[in-house]
Amino acid sequence: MKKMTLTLIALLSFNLFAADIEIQDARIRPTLPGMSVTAIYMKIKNNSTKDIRLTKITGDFAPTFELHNMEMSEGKMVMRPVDSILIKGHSTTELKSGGLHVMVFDAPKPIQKTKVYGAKLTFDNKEEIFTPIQVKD
Amino acid sequence: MMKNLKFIASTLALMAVLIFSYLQIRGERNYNPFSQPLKTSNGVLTLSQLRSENKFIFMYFGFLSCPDVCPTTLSSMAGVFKSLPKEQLDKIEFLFIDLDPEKDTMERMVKYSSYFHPKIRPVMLNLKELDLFTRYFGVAFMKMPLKSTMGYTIDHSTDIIVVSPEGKILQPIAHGSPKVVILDQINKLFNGKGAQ
Repeated sequence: MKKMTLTLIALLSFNLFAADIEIQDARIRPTLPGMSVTAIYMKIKNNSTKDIRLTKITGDFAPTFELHNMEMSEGKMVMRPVDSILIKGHSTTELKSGGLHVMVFDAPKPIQKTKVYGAKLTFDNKEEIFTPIQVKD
Repeated sequence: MMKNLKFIASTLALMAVLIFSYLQIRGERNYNPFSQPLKTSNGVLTLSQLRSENKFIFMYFGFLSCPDVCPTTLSSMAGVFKSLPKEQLDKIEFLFIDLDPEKDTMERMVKYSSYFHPKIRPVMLNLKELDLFTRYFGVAFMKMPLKSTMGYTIDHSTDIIVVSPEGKILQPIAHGSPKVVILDQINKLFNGKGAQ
């Protein structure tokens, strides 16, 4: 009986406290020879009903992170910094090659496949999430 | 008298400007990209030379601080090259033409390119040459100042230009094409169906 209650509580609390924001498949491209610039991609899932915005990202492996968007415009690929990235209520925004992404500048050490990385994401509702980042080409 | 002199002087100046711009335009109209010397890490080559070797010429235009599109394209082409039979690979010349000669150097271009595949050959031109060369192939690029750590970026066309050994511009390889599509497109080149 006790066991069942515990299980029930666990299940309930899981539902009650399901994270508002989930980060999936966070990955970073290895830095290329002679380059200190690279990009981070991920999926950001918003489980709440409210729209949220990713406003900032930081990590200990580089001093500067910027949010960027890319799109085709008049036959050219155009990349511009953006202030924030919107994740609508009950939806997922994907940061991916050729679209929204996080750009990483001046990484003092090369980003290598053998190492483990992490970053802190800050949202406009003051929520902060730490996510591990895999290295992928 | 003074008035006349002024008139003659200004007419002459106007004519000089007209003649100069005419020559300039004619020069550009006579511009032949196939004889444009292309600087590589081991000497200069021309597209005409590559044509005489009966090669298909693939040209991708990018720059080293390009964080996403360029590495994506080059790594996808590296995958394609690894799957091509040697006899086809030998008949392809892949040029990676730098769009940021003010910042990039050949040494860094070589390091960068060889990371992906030895087949990728970096080429550098000065801005004036780049302007004429890209215009001929319908490749657009523009340096844009940015409020970013980057300072500026270069908006650019992302398709890979394909030129036949006969010097004909063929269907480009579209940015983001899956590997199977690119392999199929290359196969058609060798079966003589690539021209259109």
